[in-house]
Amino acid sequence: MAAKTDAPLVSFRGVQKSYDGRTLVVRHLDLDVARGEFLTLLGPSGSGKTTTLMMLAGFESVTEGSIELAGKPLNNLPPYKRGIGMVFQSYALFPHMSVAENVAFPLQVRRMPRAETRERVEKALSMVRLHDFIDRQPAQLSGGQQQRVALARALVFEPELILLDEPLGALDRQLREQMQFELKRLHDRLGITMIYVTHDQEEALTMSDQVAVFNDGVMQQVAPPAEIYERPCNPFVAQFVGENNRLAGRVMALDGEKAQIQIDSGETVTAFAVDDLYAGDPVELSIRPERVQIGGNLGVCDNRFSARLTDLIFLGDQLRGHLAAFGRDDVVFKQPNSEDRPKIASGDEIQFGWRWQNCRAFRAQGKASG
Amino acid sequence: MAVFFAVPIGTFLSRSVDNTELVGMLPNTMDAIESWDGAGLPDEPVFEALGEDFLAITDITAAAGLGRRLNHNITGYRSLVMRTFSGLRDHAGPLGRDELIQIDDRWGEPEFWRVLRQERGTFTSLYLLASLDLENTADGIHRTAPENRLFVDLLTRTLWISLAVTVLCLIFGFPLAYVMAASGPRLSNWILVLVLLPFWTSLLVRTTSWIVLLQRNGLINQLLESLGLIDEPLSLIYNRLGVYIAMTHVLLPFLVLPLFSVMKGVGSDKTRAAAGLGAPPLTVFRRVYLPQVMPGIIAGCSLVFVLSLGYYITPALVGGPRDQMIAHFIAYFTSESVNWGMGASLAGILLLTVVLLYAVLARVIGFDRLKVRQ
Repeated sequence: MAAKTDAPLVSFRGVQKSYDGRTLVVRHLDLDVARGEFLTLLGPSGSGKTTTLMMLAGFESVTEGSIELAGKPLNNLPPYKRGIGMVFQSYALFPHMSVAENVAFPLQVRRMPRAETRERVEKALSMVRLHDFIDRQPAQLSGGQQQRVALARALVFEPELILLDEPLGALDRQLREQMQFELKRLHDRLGITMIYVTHDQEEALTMSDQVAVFNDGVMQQVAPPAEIYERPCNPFVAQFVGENNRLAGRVMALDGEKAQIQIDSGETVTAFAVDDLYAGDPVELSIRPERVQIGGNLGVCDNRFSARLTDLIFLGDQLRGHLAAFGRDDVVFKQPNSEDRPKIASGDEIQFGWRWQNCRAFRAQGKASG
Repeated sequence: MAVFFAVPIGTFLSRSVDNTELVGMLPNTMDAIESWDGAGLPDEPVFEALGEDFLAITDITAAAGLGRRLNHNITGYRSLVMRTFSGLRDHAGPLGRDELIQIDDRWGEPEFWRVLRQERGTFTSLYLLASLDLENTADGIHRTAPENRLFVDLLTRTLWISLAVTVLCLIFGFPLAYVMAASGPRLSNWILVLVLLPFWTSLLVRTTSWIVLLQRNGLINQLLESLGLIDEPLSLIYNRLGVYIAMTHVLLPFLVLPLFSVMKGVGSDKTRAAAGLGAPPLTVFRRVYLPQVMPGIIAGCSLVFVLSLGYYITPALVGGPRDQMIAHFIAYFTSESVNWGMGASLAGILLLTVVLLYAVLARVIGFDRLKVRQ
């Protein structure tokens, strides 16, 4: 496909969006999307991710700032001149046209000769493995098939960029996983740039090159999936992507990135200071359940406690349990079901702990917790 | 369904060919006239049979009914029947050709006898033919005299007015329904109320308020004159224009409501998708939006068309004498001149026309196009 250059394909510069002139739905967004990248905009509903996508597609106006596609400003370009492929959650297939007519539509409006249109339509449908359904009506297809037609329709005119607005949201779980795989495969094969909107963090982690997490109109963090998961930059990202245990406390002492924190229930823990913290700052701690160690090998753990196991759930490949500690009874841990796992049962008094690097301390935001 | 719909309509429509009234009142004559070949005057027994039938009529209203019925075939039959009836009231002795001709010499004219011979069956084609400006005389079926032709013109006029009103409703209703579907719930509710308001007002009030607006010294003429746009009042009412204006207003909701509900169901995602795929606004409208709202257009237009075919109060109030529609005559024949045969036959022809029209439409468009597809 297009030669890889350092210049980003899409760049948002200081983009703001407001519907009523007062509240901002998207706040000061700066974001670059590299050519060939698979970027996911992840966030809860109302976080501004879909609005961002719609501004890029041209269906929403930009209140402030600018959006550029391949170096050209997009702000005053109507959607039909932007040449961006788009896939909607509702599929948005034209119900009065057959599958072939749907896929041919973008080529027909570009006045492509009939023979070439036919050839490209067949190629696009083969790409999504729907060649046998070329003469069907959309209503005769299943949800997954309809979305593949929509994908073929967005791919057929070979746009540089494809936008996908929760495309798998209406599909059941099994189909969704299969489609995730197919989408990713298509992306790798065609080298096309894709921007994908979802509220499903698992989907974001499995498919993306980069994930941008949105909340309250603000982009919180943009990073590769592993970094988003392992090194979230604030409590929201930590909370929204993956499961975690949250504890509130106050900074006692600092040693570089190593912070001594007294949590509200009285215990002292050592944690990794994400923000610039000072003694006395209220903080929020986040520990992933799979980083909570239990049983004998706590040697490497800087933080060690003892608590009663309130319940233990066997999930086949792993164990999941709740501990009564820090003044609550829902401290979660997950352990792989290894052969040498400790023999424990619900009600046992057990040892647990974690390494200080795995407990991330953020400055407490807005409303004080607890 | 059968009891409340098919039976009453079927019974009414059968009136258009029903001749039992005549056959029932003149049974002997109808039997006897069978043997007459229609040339010259019938033989003596036919006259005697007629006399016998007349003597059996005791009631003057029955006689009047018979006269009215035969008057449909030839004008003048009513007075002939009435004079014969009263002339025979105190009759005694033999009753034959000479006596009848003595009472009224029109019994000596073959024309009046030919009517009886022609109408001797249980069914008559009189009304149906008359509805198409045709008549059945001794020398076969042919068109009525030009000055008597009325109904073919009436039928085409009715169809034409209905078509024009349908087109006008579409021209005004489509943008209205579109604005309703595209705007937010508040504005769309207000427009809905405005569209429905005429529904809650009596048809007569609505029509007469148009008279107030459109008449020679009405509001619109006054306004245009005061603005200096016209020198003398426009004739906006008591002509075809008045009929178009008033009927379009009255029937507009029937187009707007079905169209609105279909437009409401067409989400913005499909038009957005089309724009995103590179289609300019006009192409999006023509190739994506219009085909999807077509079921609404067809439903609304057929509703307006069928309803306007049956309109008669509005044209009667705001139209001129040349703007009356077929329903006006059906009402006239059934309730004023008590000629049910004629009323039923006009109604039957109207029904047949509509059915044929729809059959053609369904053929051209295809029935499956009329259904909403998901």
